[in-house]
Amino acid sequence: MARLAIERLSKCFGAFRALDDVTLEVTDGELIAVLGPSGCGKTTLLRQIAGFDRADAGTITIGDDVVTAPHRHVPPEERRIGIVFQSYALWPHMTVADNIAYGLDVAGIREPERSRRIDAALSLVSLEGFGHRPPALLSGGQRQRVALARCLVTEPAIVLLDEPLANLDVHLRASMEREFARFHGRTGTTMVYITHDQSEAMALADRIAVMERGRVLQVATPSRLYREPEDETVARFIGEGMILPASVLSSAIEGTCAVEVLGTKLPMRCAPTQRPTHAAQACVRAEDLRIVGRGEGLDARVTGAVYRGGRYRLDVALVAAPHIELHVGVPESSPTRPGHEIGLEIADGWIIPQRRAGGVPAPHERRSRGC
Amino acid sequence: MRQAQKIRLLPQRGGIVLVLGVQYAPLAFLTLRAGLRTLPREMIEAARAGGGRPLHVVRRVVLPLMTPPLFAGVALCFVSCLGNFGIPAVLGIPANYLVLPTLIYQRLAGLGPAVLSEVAVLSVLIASIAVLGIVAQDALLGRRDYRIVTASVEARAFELERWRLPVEIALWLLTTITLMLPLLALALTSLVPSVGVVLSAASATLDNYRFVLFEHSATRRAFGNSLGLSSLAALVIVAIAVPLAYHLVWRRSRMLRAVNLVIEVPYALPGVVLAIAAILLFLKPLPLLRVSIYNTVWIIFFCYLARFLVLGVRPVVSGYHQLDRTLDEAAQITGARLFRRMRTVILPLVAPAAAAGALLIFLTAFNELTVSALLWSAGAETLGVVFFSFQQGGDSTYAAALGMLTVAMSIALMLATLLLSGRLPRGVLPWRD
Repeated sequence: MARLAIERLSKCFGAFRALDDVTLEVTDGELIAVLGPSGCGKTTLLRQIAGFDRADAGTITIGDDVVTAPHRHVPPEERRIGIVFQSYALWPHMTVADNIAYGLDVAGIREPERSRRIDAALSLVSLEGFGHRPPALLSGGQRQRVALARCLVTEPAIVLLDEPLANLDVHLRASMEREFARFHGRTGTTMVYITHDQSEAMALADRIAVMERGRVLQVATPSRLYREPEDETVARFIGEGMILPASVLSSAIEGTCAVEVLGTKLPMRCAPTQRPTHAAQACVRAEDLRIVGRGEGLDARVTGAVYRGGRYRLDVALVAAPHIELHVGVPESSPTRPGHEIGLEIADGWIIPQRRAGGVPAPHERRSRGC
Repeated sequence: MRQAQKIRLLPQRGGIVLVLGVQYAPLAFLTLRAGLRTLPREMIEAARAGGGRPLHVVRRVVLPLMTPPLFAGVALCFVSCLGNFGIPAVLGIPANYLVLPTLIYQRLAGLGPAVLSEVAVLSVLIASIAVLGIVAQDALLGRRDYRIVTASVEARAFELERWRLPVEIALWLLTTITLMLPLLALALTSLVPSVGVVLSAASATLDNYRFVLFEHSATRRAFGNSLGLSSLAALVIVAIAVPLAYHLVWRRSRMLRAVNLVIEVPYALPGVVLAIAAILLFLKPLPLLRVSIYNTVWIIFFCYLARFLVLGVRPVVSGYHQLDRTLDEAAQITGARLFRRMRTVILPLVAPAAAAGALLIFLTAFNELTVSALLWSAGAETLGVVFFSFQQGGDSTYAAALGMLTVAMSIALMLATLLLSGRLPRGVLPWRD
């Protein structure tokens, strides 16, 4: 167990900036999810922490050891980390017990301690009695658990999980999610969990780091990320947030401010430092929108409907601003159909905070730094 | 004398060309087939869907797309024929019809190291011509040598329907003429007391086999030498190839890319060039050690290592390509160092590919003549050399018996690869998909 500190880490592949000034602090025993679409740099980040690739700039500290720094690169085999790979990476020519024992043998741990720890690892993942089997005879979920046992048996300082559930089917995923949460609760290991699936990240993580194009956009608890996104991209990515142009009319008072959205005045949640401005953006969730009678609220028109099992997700266009795409959920029994004219009421929203000085630089500034 | 007369029945130039053609037809076939295998089947399907009949599709789609592999196959055959020693030596030397490799051999065999500078010039000449062919092949195929690795993608087959039977008969006829008949001639010759005797129940004898196996000491020595040289070369090359390919595939760097190119040169260039280079290199005793490997088996061994290294590296490289890199990384993060990972994780996983490479090396080295014909010395004969000297001395029946033994051994080893087949990466062995 150890803390992990990543400071101003950058990595280029040719002219492509895979990691761009990434700073991330993981406290001892925390499970942090790194969430982002494919190609956002999350796997590059994991390989940097593991030491498989050399960084171009920045430092990584595991516990008290600086493992990556300018002119310093501790090789992976000396970093005391564990990884659960997306492909599991179980050695096909070894049995389950041999797979688990590998790290113990490398560390020079002898019998009877060796057997005791193999058995403990197997029982930790509920695979007692599977030790003599070859990995090829296990199901996907069982292989996943062997990979986890193999990585936990050497008691690494940090465990990295690279999309560990991506290869499992939906049902297995839900139960493995619960198991990972249990492991983390039981072992208290510092974990970095790479995923592109936000529901997975929300379910498991103490905190989530949202990445996009090599940058970390926001690091926060799942609830904070959902309720108070600091960035338009985060707001859109997490929970399909909708962005509306807004004017902030008053400074923040007890977490809310007066806002005007498309001619309607209402209070919205905001950062305590929020100042009045005409160029604000409001993040609204589907559950914040309510369909009311025609003529009330904002005039809108239903443009499409997608069945979501017991509910419809309706696509809605505002008459005043047809380019803004909105969506709202209604029960299956609702009579509203595509083509209907409706009224839309905004019940809640969050004003995305203005960029602070020293925050993420604007795109044109970043480009000038190049690779 | 009978020997020479018999050979004159076949005009030298035409005969050599014909036999070289038969010998290297598989190269053109493998190159073209690999090209066809990489042809996306959608291209053919789109043409068929557009209403093209099979022959039309072949003419308008397949052939134009196959021009690069076809010409590359031609270039490859050109380089191989240019460097071939055995065929013009057996068919041409008795009638004094010489090509560059046999000229080099004759000068060197007749006059010894005194003519080294002269044959060096000749081998530079042959190397320059070969480089032209290699460059042409590279330009056409982007550096892929299908003698070494074949590509395997599902092919889109045409149904021949009523043409199937005639085509199959024609193919079997071709196989019979190019493979079965010569082999049969060899087998029959090996069973008669001397060339020209008609084989019958009365004249059939196993004396030739007894002679080469038990009585002729040079042959016995050559068996030992060839077996030893080939197996040792296979083992050493695999021991080099496994760590080398690890770095080639997983630790790419500019220097390694250069190494990757360099190891192909001794195989691509004609064998005589390598042999002459080895003589020039080892004629003087090794510095510091003060021993000379000239006139020992070790100079042949050195050439085998240089020439066949690529045969070991290529299959292992494709073995690594089909291996999930995370298997190595998973071992790395447990703290295992490279040497331990090689032993416990990597070697077991690339072992089938390495075995295939070792087998290719063994078979090629075991049947090799070009290099050892120039480098052998008394006591350091190889099977190829003994076979060649039987043939030159007019002892064709002994040569035939020896030939049959090596053919039988090669076939047995090729069949043995079937045991490995399930565990081999695709396309590693030229004779199976």
